[in-house]
Amino acid sequence: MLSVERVTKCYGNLTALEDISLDLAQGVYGLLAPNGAGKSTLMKMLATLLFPTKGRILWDGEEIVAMGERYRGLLGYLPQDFGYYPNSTPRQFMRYAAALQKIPRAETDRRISRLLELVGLPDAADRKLKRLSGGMLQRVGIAVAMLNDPRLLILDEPTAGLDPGERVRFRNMIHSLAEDRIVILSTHIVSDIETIAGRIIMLRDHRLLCCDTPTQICGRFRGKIFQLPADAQIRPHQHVLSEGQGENGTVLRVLSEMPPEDGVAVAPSLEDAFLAIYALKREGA
Amino acid sequence: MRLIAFEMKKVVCFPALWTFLMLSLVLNGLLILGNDDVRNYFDTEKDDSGAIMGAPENVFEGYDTGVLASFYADIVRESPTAADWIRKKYSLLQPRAEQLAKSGAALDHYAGKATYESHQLLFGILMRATLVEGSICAMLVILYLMGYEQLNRTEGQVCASCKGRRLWMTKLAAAMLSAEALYVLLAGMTLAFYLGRWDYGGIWGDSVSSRFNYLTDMLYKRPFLTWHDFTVGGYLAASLSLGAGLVAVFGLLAAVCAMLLRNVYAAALVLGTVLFGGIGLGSLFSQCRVWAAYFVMTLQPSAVWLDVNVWFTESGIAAFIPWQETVAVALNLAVCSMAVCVMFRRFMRRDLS
Repeated sequence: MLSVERVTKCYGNLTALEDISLDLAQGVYGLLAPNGAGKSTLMKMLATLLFPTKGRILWDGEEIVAMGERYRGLLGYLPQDFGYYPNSTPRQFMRYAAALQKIPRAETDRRISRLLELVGLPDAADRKLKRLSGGMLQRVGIAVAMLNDPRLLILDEPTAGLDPGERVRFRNMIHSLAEDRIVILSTHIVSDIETIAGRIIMLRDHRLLCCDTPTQICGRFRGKIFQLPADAQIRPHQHVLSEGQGENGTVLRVLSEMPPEDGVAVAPSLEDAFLAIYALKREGA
Repeated sequence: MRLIAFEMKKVVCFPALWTFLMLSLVLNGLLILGNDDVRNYFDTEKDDSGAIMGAPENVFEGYDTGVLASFYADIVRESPTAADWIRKKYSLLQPRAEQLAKSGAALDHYAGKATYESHQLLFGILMRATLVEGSICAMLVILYLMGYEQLNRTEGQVCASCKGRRLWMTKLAAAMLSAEALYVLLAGMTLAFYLGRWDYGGIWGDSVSSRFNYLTDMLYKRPFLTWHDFTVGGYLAASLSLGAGLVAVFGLLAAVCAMLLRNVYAAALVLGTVLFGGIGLGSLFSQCRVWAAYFVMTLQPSAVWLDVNVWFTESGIAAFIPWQETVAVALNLAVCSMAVCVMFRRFMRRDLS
């Protein structure tokens, strides 16, 4: 189990994260927050690239920095900006990654073939990485992160650059992988995690806002989300969350404590909850 | 071992390095070909011992190093400590002069009247060129490998892997091995071309302190007094070996800059400034006659490189202690190795952006 105990991270006078405490067991955790909220800082601390200014991070009760290689051997990490050697092929690059992960040479090629199959890239295994599309590169990145069969998989904005088909395939893959490991994926795209994350971690003002199931988070806004025609008058206590296309033209999704005139109550989605939480914050509500 | 091979493969696939190596070999070739007139002289003189009239003179017999001591002590007279060091050095050299006189080193023919020119070409020009080329290769390789992950944005993935940040020690080992291999290649090919054109047959066993060899420093000409009995072959082997050490020093210096600054271009800039600035500072201190500071400057790697043609000799004003170039290389190796260890420890606990 991974425990984050009262972790604070400061860069000089700037506090990027403050007093974060989390306990993570097996399953998929979605780290959801707007850009600049500290998602990558938290991910990098979990990947031992950054060190907490205060607090500590434990794996099964042992501090991860002290565990060193033993911890990193359990870890798979895909950074937000996946780097690669442009003149290598996916197979060559993964062989290097396998050497870094201390995977026995005899086992390396078998694992690489299996993972390239899993991410749907068996035909691109021997093409130069610089010739692959953004989505294909991202899939190579996921395969690299999975190379050591990690017990903790950290994926920082893994769906960036993926097309809708690839996103669905990715979600299915993550869902199947999470059965026996902790998967933490950060994103600001709600639909990426809505269906697969068992728990959603939300950050606000550099602090932990919640670590709840999507149902619990949406539940906070039950009876407060309404759909209105686009030409409806918005009252001061109402907050427009989004605009979309309804059966009879453009409609607004509105957060309101009181049912508005012409408003139809709708079940809150995770996106509504996300927008509501951060819209309210922006408006100082 | 697998990772060292991977890292060395990155070096092999670095096109700028091979371009530099090719240009260096072309330059060395031109240096050799440009001295063909000296070669003709060398060919005539080297086997022409009979043509030298009179009995060979043993220049070390009765040689008094006190003359040299007085000359150089007078130059550094502003600093009594420096003058003492100089006098001490030359007093230690006196038994060497006596030993060379006894062994008859001066009676060896070497290359006859062409000795000075051929010796300067091999050790003053070619060795100096090979050393600077090898050192640049070493610094290039180190900076390239140390900054490779940053340039390819793979640093985060690498540092989060099982091997983690310790990969940079593997990189250093691979880079140093590559740098030394490149130096051997450069020196080997340059020497092969040189010795293919210059016939050193029958010379290798002659003493490098032959009466035909001499040193000139501040217009002061004196015999080639070395701290050990060197044959021509032995002197070349010793110079090449110490050169390998100096290449390692430059490599480690580059590693320190790369790990300190974490930016390849900034590291290259600082490295260039330190090396060229060090040479300039040495000249400045000698001009200003600040001899204690000048002495410290003679220990820096670029100063050792500049004096390659007088290595293992008393070296005049360029050295304050016996075997100074060897001591300087050993000292630099020790200091740079310690600095690398400190930088590495710092890197292990440093935040990566």
